[in-house]
Amino acid sequence: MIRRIEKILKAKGVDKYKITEINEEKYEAYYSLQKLEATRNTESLTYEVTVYLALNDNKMLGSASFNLPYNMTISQIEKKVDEAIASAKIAVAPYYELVEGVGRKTFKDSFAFENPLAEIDKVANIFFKEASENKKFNSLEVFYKQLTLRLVNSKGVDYKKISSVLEVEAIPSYDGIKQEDPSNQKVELYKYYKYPTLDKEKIQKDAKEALADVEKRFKAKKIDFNGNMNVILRDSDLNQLIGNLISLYSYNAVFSKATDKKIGDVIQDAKRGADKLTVTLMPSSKANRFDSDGVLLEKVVILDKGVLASYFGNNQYAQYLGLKPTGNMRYKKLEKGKKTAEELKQEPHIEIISLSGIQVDPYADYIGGEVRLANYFDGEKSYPIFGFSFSGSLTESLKEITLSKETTKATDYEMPRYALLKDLNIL
Amino acid sequence: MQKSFSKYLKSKKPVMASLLERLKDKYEHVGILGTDTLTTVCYVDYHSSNVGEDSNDCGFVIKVVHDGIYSEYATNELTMRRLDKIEEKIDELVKANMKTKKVGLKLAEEEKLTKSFSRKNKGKYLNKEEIITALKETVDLFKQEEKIVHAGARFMVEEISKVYLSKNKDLEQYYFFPSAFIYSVAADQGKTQMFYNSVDDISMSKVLKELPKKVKETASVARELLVAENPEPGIYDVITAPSITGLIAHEAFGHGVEMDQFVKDRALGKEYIDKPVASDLVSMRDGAASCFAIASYFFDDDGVLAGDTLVIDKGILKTGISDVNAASMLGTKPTGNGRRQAYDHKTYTRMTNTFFEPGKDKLKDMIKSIEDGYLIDVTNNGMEDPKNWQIQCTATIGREIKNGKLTGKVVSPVIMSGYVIDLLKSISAVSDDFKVNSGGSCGKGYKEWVRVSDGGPYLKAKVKIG
Repeated sequence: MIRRIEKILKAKGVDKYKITEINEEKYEAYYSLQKLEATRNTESLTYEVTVYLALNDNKMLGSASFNLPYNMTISQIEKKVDEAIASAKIAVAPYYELVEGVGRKTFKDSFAFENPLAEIDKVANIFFKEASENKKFNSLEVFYKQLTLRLVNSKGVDYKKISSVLEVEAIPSYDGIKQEDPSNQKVELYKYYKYPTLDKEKIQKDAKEALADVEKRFKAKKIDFNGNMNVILRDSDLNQLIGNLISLYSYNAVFSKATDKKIGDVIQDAKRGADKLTVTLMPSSKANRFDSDGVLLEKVVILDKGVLASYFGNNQYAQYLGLKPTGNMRYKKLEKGKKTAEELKQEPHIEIISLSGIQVDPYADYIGGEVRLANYFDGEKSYPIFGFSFSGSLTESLKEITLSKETTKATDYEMPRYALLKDLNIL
Repeated sequence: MQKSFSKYLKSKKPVMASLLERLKDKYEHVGILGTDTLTTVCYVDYHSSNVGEDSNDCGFVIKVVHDGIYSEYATNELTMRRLDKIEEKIDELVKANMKTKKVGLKLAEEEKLTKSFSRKNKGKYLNKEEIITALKETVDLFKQEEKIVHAGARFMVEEISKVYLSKNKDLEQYYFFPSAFIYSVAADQGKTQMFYNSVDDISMSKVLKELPKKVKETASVARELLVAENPEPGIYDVITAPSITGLIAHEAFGHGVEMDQFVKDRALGKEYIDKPVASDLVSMRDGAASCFAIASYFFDDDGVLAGDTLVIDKGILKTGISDVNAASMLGTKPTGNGRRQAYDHKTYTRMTNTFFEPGKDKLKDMIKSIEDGYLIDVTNNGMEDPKNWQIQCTATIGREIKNGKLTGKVVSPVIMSGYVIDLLKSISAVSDDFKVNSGGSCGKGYKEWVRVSDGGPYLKAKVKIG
């Protein structure tokens, strides 16, 4: 099909183009109160085409894109191409070159199930096996996806990625008797897991932890103090904090003047004793080695010990800034700190286990969120708490951030296990 | 643009009918949904413009109920030649070696209905060149605004065609929804801020005509945000503008009454039916037929006609909203709230247009009644907790009110949180204004995104800002 589309484009005089072929197969099973509710299978093959036209003596580049959402006839594709050519003449940007390819390449990082739904059901039962009368999974959804994506452009890019992932959305729930707080007799938490391989031990560990967390949520007390407190963030909340922090330094943001920070500027004015942040963007797997423009991905250090080391982003905006495109990457590595988790947790603190959603606004210099579950350590003992929010200045928090030596890894980040932020407001 | 019901879907209806004929006696229930959604997007900013089409929600999903569960096969290739293969795929799904006990789903018999619905653009259809020209003119207006270093405008037309076929139903719908969005970036003394605004209507021309009128406000608020401070955490009397009123309706009780959560014992709401949950000034509705906005379809993805559900009546929780599966499990009537992100996603109970009904108070009197608080506006995001009724709503801007007057000072961002019932019971005034905003997308948890609207009047309430 790609060759057919290329032939039509060339016949219409289009010599700059990009075609993406997306072939997806998904298997899913849905469980309600630990009983099977539904099974699903999806098969789809679609194409995305972008047509580029050099205009005004190569000063401008027009572009327009369209999908082929089903198997279209030649005349249907020709009509789409004609419409895109007309659109590209009116939708223009300063000229940039398409990514130059290095020929045909295939990147693979996948695993296959012989009988996907039966395997999915086994995964669900790893979760259910850990349940007991009070603790169970009121909702569980298991997804297995296989993707083959091929990207071709008019400058020699012909890259393919073959990937697969197993994902689980789990709602661990605890039903108990809590006469002093009837609205918290039945409690739940939200958990989402991505597994790059079928790692049954890891799945079982996650299931156990999810149920242990929800039991803590049941036992948690409403917090009874206001004021300032050290807060420990971890896992995806820390990943989101770092993601929001560096989002200001994409080529697009820089070109749009959303930031005026220059390479070499201090981003984190760390105080003595605090950990200076070093953040690296890198490909997330052996399969994810090129971005949607065909830029081959290599790791790039964005923050080096709190100093802006590089911008990052796509081909178009990199060329506008006269810089090398790094490509779009989501996998972040934050270098570990100097203290052990034990040292980090010596002083009184609140360790956040579950938030409604962390709020990080680098423009308004804000960090905060509503806490669903946390551990409170008062200097002597630790107990679970809920029903409060924390907030503070992002800049001030980063000045005194301390990171743990221990690290944790997920499909889209590698981070210290814990990050301690000082003196945030608790309400 | 398609401008009318999808020719592609029309051409596929005989294939859908043949497939239904093959399957209908084999399974307890068979429903086939065909979708063809075309989104045309035009974008202009200070430096560039582009035009694109997104038609990824174009395909078919075949649902069969069997042995106490349902199975679905979704594909974007439905042809007469593939029918044997598709039937084989469905049989494989049904026979999959699933050991887990089943929920015992049994769908109620559908009512007989054959109907076709259409809602087209009101007025002239504009071509892409006319749209790009109008967007450029709008973006150029920002260049006259002080401290605005970048701006952009995006115009989007969604054209949705759907067919639902089952033993008793043959439904077709086409609806058209134009909307636009502008943003500006303000910068001064090393600080940067961004603000956005949106317009929607049933007419393409009207959307583009209204857009330039939003430029001054969009630039002005971006400049105001440059000097905004974070609010001092505390409990405040606030007035929520319709955007935030809608966010509260959506997060506080919209998610809380999605009845697929009742089935999974995930919502406290099911224990509060016919009980007070809010101040008696509060009435709340949800439904594709409740008002005209982005989620105003004619039938849902289960083939159930659009509904208008009175969720809260003068402070009393009356009922929830549901899709066909949840209604069957609970023994209730579906309310037309079964929605999929796309043909290749499952149906869940989802909100549509959710809002509080207007009251009788005047906004100026409500402002006068506040000694120390904020007028809170512009939705940023929110998060639900139907099981334990915690809520988090983030507003972009808070305007300080002292001694009954707006002082001109602004704070940002404003994160409200607390216990849903405390918040709803604290509502002490409801204005006679009413506005619904179609700019939103809603997820179930952190996935399954669908377009929704929400809104209502101005509300006076007591909230925790942290």
